[in-house]
Amino acid sequence: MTYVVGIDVGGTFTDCVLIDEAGNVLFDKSFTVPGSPGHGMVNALENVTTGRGLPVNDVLGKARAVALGTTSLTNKLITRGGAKVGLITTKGHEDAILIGRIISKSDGLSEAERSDVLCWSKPDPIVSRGLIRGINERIDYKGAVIVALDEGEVETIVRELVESGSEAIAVSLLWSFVNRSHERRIQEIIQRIFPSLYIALSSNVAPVLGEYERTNATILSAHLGALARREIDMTSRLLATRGLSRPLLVMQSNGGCMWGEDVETAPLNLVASGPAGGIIGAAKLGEQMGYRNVIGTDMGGTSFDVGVIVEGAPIFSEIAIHGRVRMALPHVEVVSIGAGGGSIARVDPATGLLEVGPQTAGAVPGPVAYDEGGLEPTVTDADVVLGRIDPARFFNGRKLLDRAKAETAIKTRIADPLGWDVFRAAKGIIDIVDSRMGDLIRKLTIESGVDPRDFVLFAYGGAGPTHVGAFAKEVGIKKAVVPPFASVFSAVGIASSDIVRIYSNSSPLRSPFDPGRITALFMSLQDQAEDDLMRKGVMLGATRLSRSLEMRFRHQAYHLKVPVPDGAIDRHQVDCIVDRFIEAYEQNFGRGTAVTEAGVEIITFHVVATTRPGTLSLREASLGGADSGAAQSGMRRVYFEGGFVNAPIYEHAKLAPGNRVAGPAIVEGANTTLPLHPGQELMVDGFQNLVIHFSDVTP
Amino acid sequence: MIDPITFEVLRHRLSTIVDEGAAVMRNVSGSPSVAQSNDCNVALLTASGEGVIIGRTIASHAISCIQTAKYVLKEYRDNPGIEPGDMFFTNHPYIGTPHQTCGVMVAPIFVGNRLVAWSGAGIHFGDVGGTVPGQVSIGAHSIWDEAMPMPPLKLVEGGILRKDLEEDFLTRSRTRTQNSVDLKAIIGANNTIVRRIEAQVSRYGVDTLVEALDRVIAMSEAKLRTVLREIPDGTWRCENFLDYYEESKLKLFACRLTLTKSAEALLFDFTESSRQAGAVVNATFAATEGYLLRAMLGIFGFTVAHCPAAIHRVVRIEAKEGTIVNCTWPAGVCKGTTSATQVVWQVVTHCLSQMLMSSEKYRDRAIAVSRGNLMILDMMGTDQYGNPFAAVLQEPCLAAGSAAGARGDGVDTGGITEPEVSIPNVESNEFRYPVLYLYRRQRANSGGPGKFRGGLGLSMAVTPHDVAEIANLMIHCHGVSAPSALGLSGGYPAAINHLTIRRKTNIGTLFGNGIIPSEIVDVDAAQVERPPPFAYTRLGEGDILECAGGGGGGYGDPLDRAADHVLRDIDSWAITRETARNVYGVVIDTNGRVDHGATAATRGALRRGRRVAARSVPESNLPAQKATGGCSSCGNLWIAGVPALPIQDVECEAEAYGVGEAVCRSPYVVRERFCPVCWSVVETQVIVRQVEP
Repeated sequence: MTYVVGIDVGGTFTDCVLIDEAGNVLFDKSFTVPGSPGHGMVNALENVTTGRGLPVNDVLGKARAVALGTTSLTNKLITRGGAKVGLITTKGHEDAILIGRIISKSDGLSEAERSDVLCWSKPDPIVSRGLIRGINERIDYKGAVIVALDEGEVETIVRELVESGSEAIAVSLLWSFVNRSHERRIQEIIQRIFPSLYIALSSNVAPVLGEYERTNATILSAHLGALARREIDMTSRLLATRGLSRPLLVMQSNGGCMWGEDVETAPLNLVASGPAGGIIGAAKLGEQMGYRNVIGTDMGGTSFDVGVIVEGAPIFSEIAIHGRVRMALPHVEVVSIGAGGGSIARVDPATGLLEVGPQTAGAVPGPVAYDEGGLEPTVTDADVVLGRIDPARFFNGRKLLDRAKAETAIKTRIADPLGWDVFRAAKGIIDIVDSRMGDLIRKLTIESGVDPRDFVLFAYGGAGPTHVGAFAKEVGIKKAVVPPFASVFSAVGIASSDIVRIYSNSSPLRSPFDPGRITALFMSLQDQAEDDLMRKGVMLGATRLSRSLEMRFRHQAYHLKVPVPDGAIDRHQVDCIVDRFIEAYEQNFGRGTAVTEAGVEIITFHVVATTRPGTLSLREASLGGADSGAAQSGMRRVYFEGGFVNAPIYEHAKLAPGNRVAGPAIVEGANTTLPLHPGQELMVDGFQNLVIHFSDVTP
Repeated sequence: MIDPITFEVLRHRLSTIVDEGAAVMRNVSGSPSVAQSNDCNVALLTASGEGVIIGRTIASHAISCIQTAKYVLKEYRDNPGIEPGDMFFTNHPYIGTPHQTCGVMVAPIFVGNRLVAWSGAGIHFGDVGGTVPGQVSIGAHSIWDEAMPMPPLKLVEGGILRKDLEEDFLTRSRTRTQNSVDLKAIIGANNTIVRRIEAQVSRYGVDTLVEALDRVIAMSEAKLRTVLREIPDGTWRCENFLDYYEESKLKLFACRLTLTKSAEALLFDFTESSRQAGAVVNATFAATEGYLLRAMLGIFGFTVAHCPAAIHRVVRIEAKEGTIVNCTWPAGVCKGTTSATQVVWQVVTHCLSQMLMSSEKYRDRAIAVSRGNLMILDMMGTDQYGNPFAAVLQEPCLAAGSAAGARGDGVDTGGITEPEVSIPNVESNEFRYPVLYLYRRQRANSGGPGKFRGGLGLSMAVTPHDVAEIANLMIHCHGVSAPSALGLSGGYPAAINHLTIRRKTNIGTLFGNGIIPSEIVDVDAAQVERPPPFAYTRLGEGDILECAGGGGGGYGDPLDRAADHVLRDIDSWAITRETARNVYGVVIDTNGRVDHGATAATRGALRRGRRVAARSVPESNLPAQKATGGCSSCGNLWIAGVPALPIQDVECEAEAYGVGEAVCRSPYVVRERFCPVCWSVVETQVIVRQVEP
């Protein structure tokens, strides 16, 4: 038997899944080992294989693919823990990253901070002003050279930057994405003088319009490139000692994997790749289940993350903000709020109102029920007090919870000040956090121009299943899915990700368009993609190239991505592309909103190369009878709307496809618990998912 | 009585609903001013038109919704009536919006026959008619020369957009298509908010919803009143000036404010302000109220968040009719958002900050004035693609420096006290418009000097590119004749705005020789023009338009600034070495380090210089509030009668203090007040020679 291996290294846990050729999923977790993520991965692998007679060396040796998602670079970015960078840019525009389009003063701040003028500041620059050098050169919007590059000056500047301590150089010139020649020439000159110096060119990192976001992406790539390479090399070597024979794949925030050896060319793609893994998992599983419109929701200990998949494709965002820095970085959009099991509940002494989050108890000390020193009640404490979480079964029984302590904390800190009984207070905590999550889902879907009620919702993460019954109902979802591997769902997504490389080029054009120019621009991107694949030894047949254009109306800032068919583009096809753009625009914003007489602009060309490491589909069993009695393991008292009821407990692992369960009930899974509210009903599908149907849908 | 859980759920829900309305509006409009500068907003109001929650963008649009809803309630109840599905649109400055190019649409929300709330949405339109394209009718004598405003009209009746009225609005405009889309954007925003509020009513019941709206206000109001109770009562004054060329002559209009706080109430009295101008730059009472609230939200955002009603309930405004802050028909107001209203914002911020300074608890929240009066340039003509274009270059005004405050330096190119404003990339503008940016950078020495330095402003230079000329350049700039980003507590005002046109330069030759000029003075020009701040002109091939915006005001005496912060400013190019020495008294040695000995000597000499130059002021010449005060540097307190405060004029040193060079003979002086014990600056004041009565 051979496997596809997916590993998700988070701050606290490292999750591991193995998917075999028949589509069976094996999974487990281990604690992350700080400083040596590879050891945490091996531990997680061992947890999965132990007792199954699968030696780790065998699994890794015969794996069809081993894919890894890691958060370590995100932390390095936030702490500015990478190389000292010198920046070379066009003379006269040295301050672009300091001006930060003004918006850098509030980018990355919390809601509360945005309301308080005293909290506004621009983030610590990754390049100090003294290491920013303007050079005599200028290219215009057409790519025409207005001022030739002063090559002698390049040499002087680079030497100065290195003498001033620069360990890596970022080169970001105006309009370099239209004409790369000056950046390329600067690279050649630097390589001649300092052959081992890390160089990032903006025309490689982010060849898109907008010098501020492009330059930031370039600087951060220079900052993190060498570091990313070191980390992945270290992990690869460690896994190689345990049998890994294939090149390691690394998850990217753009929703696909890349080869580990390439990370230094695109280190930013690793940032926030874990949440993207979850959305890709939801898209892939949704596809197999026949759902094209999916909302992916991940509730863990500290945050609630949401992403949206429309017609099979995750919603993308071209701009990311990490460590308070705005950068050009196409990624699967995942929006997050501070709502998780560890979110702290407090009564505001001034207003007497109950507030939940954004403060969190984190993993340490964690909720009061962990009994590790936490004093302030959290969402998990409320779940325990209401019987929704069984204190004896939390984290598969590996973590015993103290229900009495949780109850005392809620009583003294919440219930007594409000003059309520402890259960009503606990229910209040949960109602607030559930509505907050519902509000986020609505906001994200409305901003994306879609109606959440037309979507199937996937709930995963440790706490997702515990709350889905309420927050999905808040937004009027009709169907929610809890997979059997909900607690390691991102790792499943990572394992099932394709290898994706995105080739982009901003070449702003205005209607009327020249079909020849469009064809030529696509061909050059396709050639680039094919060259890369050849170098990797990938059979071209195993790769799909898909093309699209970012388009907008003149005078507007909003753009839309329009798919473009293969082959040469003629005049007729240009018309079709424009029609498709207008149609998509009006679909989003209503008939008659298109400003057609303004003319249309093409901003960016994209070619996406998708290589599938091996076919992968999950095993689907045929459905049996509805009777779930065999999976029932007991009863317990659980608080729902209106008070405590005796609810039967079912074991997710023992439920069979076709089984039905009616609420009130509890379904205990691996590291997760699903409370099924009165009036709700679920069915187990062929993938062993719990599919919850909401009948009384209110918006 | 609504329970705290339901309230907390609904409070967050209502705020999300407002965000949803804003998202719909932004998506539908898509115009650059909306998408890139967020020049729009939405509001959720009570049945009586009080502002419960407004969106996070430019507050004045939302405040216009409040004023419009109140007007409709007062005037239209019987005729034409307020019915479910109706929406009222206006761009009337004497009713709601600050000027004609801002339009708002308000929609009553009914449950059955009961009016339970209002939704509102406002947006900036490109052109709504008048004698001159764009918003500013340069040379107008009265509103009759500007775009004619529309009073609130029932544009949407029973859910249907009335074609006849829509056509009336669109016919007036040169940007008909975009206006039509923008109308749909504000209708869409209201539809979203109305539907979502109705959904909450069906879930929680109408009484719960109405109570939740009231309690959101009551909660913010209680928080604000708590803060006000903790601040001592008192009276504070501030005056600031608007420079405007009326009938081709420089006129300086004063906006004078006396703020009186007693218990939990704030009285803003503008009575002493200058007469109204004929047209263009005035503020109606509604506009003054809107910008006062905007300033209040900036200062008190930490406690009232986005709830204007809470502020309304503690504020009273007095302004004399016929003045620049309460103009009367037919005074013109077409530049209403960027003229007198900005001065209102400045003096309100300054008075509130003085008030905060009097409180031990809130002292560290005091800030000087962010951004002085505004410099705006409109360009129109044929672009590099052969199409007509219209561009507004507003980077120097949007990216002005933020003010320093008691807690620290201002944010460089940080803009105003609203969080979501931005400027486009240089590449975006070069793609859209026929210009090439020679530079766009932070302007050294432009932040007001102080113990905490005001943020830097932005300077830039553009030249026509790929066209023979830019046929119309419309200049409408304030803040070129006197500094207006005032300092606080001895901090200095920021540099003034600066505008130059260099004609027929050799820039093409320089480019050909591989040179980008470091400084614009390195370019040879046939002629260097200082255009008047309100003018039409053109840009030809090789002409360079150079504009430099001001920074934020400084806080505290610059001689008290930590020497290593001054060094950091030099290293980050925020100030020059000359400024470090002359203004901050900090001397840098040949190794680039602070020379502490020389610094102490220089600072001592500067203080002695103040003592020599200063002259005492008879107490009778001081306003009452100045006669009693204290020095934050040495702790010296003085009271009326004991020793008189010296005053010094520093007109000749204006440039050295970073205040900049005036367009014509300097019409102002910066007056400093010193502590007679330690000779620290305790206050700076901009004094203007000839003020309009």
